[in-house]
Amino acid sequence: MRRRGARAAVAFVAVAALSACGPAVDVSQPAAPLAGVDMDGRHHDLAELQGSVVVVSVWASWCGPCREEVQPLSQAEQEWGDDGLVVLGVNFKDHPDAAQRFVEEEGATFPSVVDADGAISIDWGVTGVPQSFLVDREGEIAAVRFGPVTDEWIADVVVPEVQG
Amino acid sequence: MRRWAVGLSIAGAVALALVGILTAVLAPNQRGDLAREVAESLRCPSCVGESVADSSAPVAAAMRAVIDEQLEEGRSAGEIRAWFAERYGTEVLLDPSPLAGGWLLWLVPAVIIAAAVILIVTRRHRGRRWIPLAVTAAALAGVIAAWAVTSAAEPSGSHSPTTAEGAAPAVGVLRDAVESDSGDPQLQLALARALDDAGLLAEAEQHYAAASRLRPLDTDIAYLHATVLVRDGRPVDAVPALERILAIEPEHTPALLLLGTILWEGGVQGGEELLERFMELEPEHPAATEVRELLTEGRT
Repeated sequence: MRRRGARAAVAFVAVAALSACGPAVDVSQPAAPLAGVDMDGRHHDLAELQGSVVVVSVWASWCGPCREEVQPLSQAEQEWGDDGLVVLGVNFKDHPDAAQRFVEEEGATFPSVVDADGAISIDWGVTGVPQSFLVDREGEIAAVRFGPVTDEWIADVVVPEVQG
Repeated sequence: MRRWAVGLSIAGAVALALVGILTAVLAPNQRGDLAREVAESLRCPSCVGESVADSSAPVAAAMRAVIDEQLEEGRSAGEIRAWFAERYGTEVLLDPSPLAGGWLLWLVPAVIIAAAVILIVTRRHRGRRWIPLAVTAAALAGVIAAWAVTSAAEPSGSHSPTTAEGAAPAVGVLRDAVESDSGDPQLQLALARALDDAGLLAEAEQHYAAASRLRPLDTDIAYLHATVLVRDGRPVDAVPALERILAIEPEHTPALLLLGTILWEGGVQGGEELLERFMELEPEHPAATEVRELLTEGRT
């Protein structure tokens, strides 16, 4: 039993850590479609948010660094929501219960479209989680963030877009 | 009479080649095999040196699901590869096409057949010594064409790594490159990956080690080095590399899990502590259940 368990654990090591890495999506490209239901069954569609600046954040409960970005994102939306900033999460290949726990534990205030099979994320060219995209008011990708969103990124990249 | 025999031989060789081509082209290619071929031709964007087909990373799994979905929708392999290239850049593409090598192999004998026919026609009045040579060339070309095309389209349903034979050209080129510039970590890493793909783990390990020495702070290379040692049946030898990773990145969870498991299995102190740290950081990790089991057993 001990050996079987150990071997299984070693086998799981093959699951690559999805650290932020690699270039992928070109900025100034129209954002890919993003529509679906969140964990509460509410429908969201990025197309309906045109005119707002949207931070699309791809995360998963099994991703440690994803926890770090919940507070900066929630705070940013709270602070800049009236100026047209919207945060829309994409919950990538996750277990619904684990995702729900993650939201509760981290106090996420923004909704997340469930991407159970990862198809939405792949359409967006996601290379790992967390990964975020800044979508401008015209629906074009203005910036891509590999790794957790930080207060600095919000201040240096997101806020100027909101104010611009 | 002999001219008839010559003609018959050439026709036979050409027919053989055509049979090979038709067998390959018309053979019912299962969608699963095609999906595998497409996945093998794409680079996993969140991995180091792995194709989408061979990677267990969640992004690669999602990419495989997208490939299946697009094949069901009737898209061709080329269209799917183009779709991924549009989103991930051309660096996501590995080989231009799984069939490319096969068609190239087919083209060579096709040219030989044409040359043989021309020789027979132009030299028929100057003597017959060219004829047997031409016929032999045509026949050989036919056989090679049949073999080449058939093997190019052979379904690759298994998940086994590329064979050493198949990887030999890349390995050979990289070996030469490393020999001429052994201080280049990228070359060392590329050769290590090629050898790894070919299943030559012991040799791959040496080059991962070399790349790691050249880039001692690169935890990705160190982790690849450690995992190849584990896969080669030398988990204890992987310990120093894993310890180095954790010295650089104390929260490198794959290293915590692997080193914790190796130490725990060897009954060495510290394994449990590492696994506990791993569980604190990654409580929802797919391996969490197994690790929890290990820790519970360890305490009872």
